[in-house]
Amino acid sequence: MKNKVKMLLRDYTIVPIFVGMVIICSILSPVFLTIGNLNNVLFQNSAFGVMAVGVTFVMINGYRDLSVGTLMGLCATLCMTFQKMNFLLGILVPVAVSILVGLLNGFLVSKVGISSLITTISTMFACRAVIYIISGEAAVAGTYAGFEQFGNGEFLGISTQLWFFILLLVVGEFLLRKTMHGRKTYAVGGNIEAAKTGGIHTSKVSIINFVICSLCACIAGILLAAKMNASIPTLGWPDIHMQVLAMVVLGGTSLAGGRGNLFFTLGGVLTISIVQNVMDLMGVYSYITPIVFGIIIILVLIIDKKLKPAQVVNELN
Amino acid sequence: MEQKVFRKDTSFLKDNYIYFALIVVVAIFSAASGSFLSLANITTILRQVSILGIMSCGLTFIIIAGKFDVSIGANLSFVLTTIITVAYFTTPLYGMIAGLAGGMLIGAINGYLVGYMGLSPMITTMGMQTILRGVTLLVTGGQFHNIEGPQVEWFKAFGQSEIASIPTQFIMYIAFIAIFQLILTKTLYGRRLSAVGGNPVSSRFSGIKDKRTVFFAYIIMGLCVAIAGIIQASRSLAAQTNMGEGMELDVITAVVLGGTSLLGGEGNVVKTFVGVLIIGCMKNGFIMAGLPYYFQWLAQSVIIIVVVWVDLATKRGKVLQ
Repeated sequence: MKNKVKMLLRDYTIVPIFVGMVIICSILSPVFLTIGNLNNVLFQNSAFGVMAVGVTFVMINGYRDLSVGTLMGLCATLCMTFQKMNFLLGILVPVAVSILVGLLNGFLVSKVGISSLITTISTMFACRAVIYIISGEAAVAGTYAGFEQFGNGEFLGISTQLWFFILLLVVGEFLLRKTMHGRKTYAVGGNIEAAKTGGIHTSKVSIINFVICSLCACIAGILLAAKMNASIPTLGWPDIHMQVLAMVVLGGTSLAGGRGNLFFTLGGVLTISIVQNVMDLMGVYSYITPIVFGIIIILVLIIDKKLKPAQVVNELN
Repeated sequence: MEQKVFRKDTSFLKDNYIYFALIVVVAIFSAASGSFLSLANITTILRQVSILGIMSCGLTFIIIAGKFDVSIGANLSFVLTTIITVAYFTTPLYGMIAGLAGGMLIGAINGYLVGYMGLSPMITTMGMQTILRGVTLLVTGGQFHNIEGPQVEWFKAFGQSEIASIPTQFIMYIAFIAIFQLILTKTLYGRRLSAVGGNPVSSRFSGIKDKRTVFFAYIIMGLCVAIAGIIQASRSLAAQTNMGEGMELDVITAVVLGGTSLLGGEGNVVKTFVGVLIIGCMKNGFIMAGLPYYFQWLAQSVIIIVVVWVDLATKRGKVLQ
């Protein structure tokens, strides 16, 4: 019994971390625990949560996707640009482009064998280039007031942004736990050779997960475009991907792959969000935020190493 | 039984394609713009590639060791800002010392985390990158200084002068290439570096202190960033907080183009030099052809993918796996 509790605690470290952060934040700022503030936190960070869901899939699969940030920005830009012609195009084009990017990432990583880091760094810069080529360094404004209402609106008391996050969490967790694809994802992430020997078509699984991740980035981009009813070229730059990665890694999904779930990711998203929120409330300079994120990531890596020293994180993956 | 081994000797092409690539790139750009091959333009290119080149030397070592460093761009901004800020309040000499100390300190931290603690190089240096971005802004405190005046004159020599009409910084770069290639091929440390990158476990069993080797590789990288920062500070005489942004892609492209395998264990600083020249020509050529800077990101992304693909395909003998 004691062993089981120890094992559970070791995996679910995000729960005490989250609770601890809530306590610290309420001490640091009296405004923190108000309904208005908490609602605002969820509203501002749901899009990042959506991206984190996608990144979780790829990470359980044993890979990393750094292109989510700029892909999100690209989808926002595409949405705004094509909306001018036709509202439906403004949704279909980003979706199509993100599926293409996901397929490309998946193909290069699993079929060509290029490290996911290198592949997605290249895709990241390629997306960034396309953003600038399309928008010409200018912001693109939206055409439909209704779209902005949708992005900022509420349904049954919960903002539309949050609805998408919740929906993706539920659907995603169902995918991971109850479907064959989810099982195969864990298998490939755990030990790709064993999975192959077991008859799993590993490249198909990986490609699907990269597409899922890119689609999540697309949804996040459309959500953000709806919220601002505009897109700016610097959306998704310079280190949104780091923030999203921090959320997933902090939550407890292992960088080595094969372990993790969306509950962890939810915890990570909430924790990082309230850290950012309390720093805003305290009026901390905006450049302290990246320092805090970087330190969090490194601390999580160190703790991960101490807790699970035998785990080999394949760098070139 | 007789065994006939018949294989076309294609290794010359494989090993030296980079030189052909440079010739092709120069040809394309000089066709696109008449003044590409002018003395003034060549001097400009040489001036511009020196910083990229020195940093590429350092990253070549890191990649040979089988590791990675994404924080070099942010480190450059940090060093540059430190140099100018310290030079503003004291003298350029103290600025230089501060820059060297700062760059090597960051290298030491990276080296400790990756080498001794065994953390993932990519993620760790990505974390350092975000930290450094924030720290750089912290150093300036929101103020953008620039240095000027007679006591600064000698400092300009690094970045703005010429020796026999070759930019000083380029001569420094050539010196770096020579020293690094020497270290790589002739010293014990160079051997250890290749061994660790090729197979860390077996190198440890051979008695090589792999953690220390990696640690020093990162300090060397920090030193390269510091020198590059000094040159840039000498050029601009102003604190540019986002100078290094995106530089990582340039450096990685140059090293990968130069044939250094991302799997570690092998590499060549001279071929990285050719990769650097290609990047420099591309950057310059794009501007001369009137294309905006972001087209280059697209070109570089494609180049990296293609070059790594070819490298992997030739190593395993199959195009796809």
